[in-house]
Amino acid sequence: MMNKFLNPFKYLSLRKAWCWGIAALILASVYYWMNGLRPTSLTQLDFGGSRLWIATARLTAVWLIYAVIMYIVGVAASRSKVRFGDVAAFSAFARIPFYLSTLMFAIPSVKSVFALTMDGNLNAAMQYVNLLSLVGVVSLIILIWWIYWEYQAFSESTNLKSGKGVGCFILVYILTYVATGLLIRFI
Amino acid sequence: MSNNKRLPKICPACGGRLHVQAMSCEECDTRIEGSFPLPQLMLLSEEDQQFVMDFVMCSGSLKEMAAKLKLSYPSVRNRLDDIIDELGRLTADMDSVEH
Repeated sequence: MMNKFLNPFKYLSLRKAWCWGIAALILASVYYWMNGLRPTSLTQLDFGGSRLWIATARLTAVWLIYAVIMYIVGVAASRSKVRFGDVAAFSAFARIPFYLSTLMFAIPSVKSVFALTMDGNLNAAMQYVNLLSLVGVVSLIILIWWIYWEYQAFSESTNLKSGKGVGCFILVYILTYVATGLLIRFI
Repeated sequence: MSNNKRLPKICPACGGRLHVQAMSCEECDTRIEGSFPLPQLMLLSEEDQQFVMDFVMCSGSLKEMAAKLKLSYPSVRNRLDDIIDELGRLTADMDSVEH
């Protein structure tokens, strides 16, 4: 059971990965739209979202850019045959913890404090330092879970392991972060 | 005699690869002696040998293997790729010993 939680990609059928991944993306799009959230890169959000299609298109773009870069690095570095379908399905499923980490923005007090920090009103936001610390710790735990799952998804779908796998994953992460930051602003 | 005995492949004294030195017929007790290297498949771990066996029994269908082993398709394919790598390494080792 613990193994299935730590590395679900070893056991998860591709059909289930696709279904869960796409369902999570659709639900996240609706949630982002309802809360005015808008992805601006692989890990960053702002409160500039107003339309459902923009939230959906940006979340889809982030996922696809990630999957394409994973696939290219996997094909270049792995001795195994890498299939885009495997990479895309597993990376879609691996994003679920990230979507969960953004659920905290549904709490009105958290949303208003983060709005203050994004507007640059740091002095006002610091009045809620306990809340910010709690949210920070919870977010950090979920983000570690998310990155661990992303690595496992990359490793299972490309058969890249240990030092080479970690090195390639860091490269994928950096490339995706830069590419999403540059590209999704056009949506 | 127990049928669960495991064939040793590595020398416990020096860590070298073991060869078959003698074989005998169960019917007439004829004995043949010599130095016969183990086939490459026999040099794989028991888990890998079982995997190869299951793979053949599933007519080489990775999808069927994934369902049988309750693993994801990429996991099964990775395991097969690792076995192919291992067989390649064993073949290269055997070639270098022969030359």
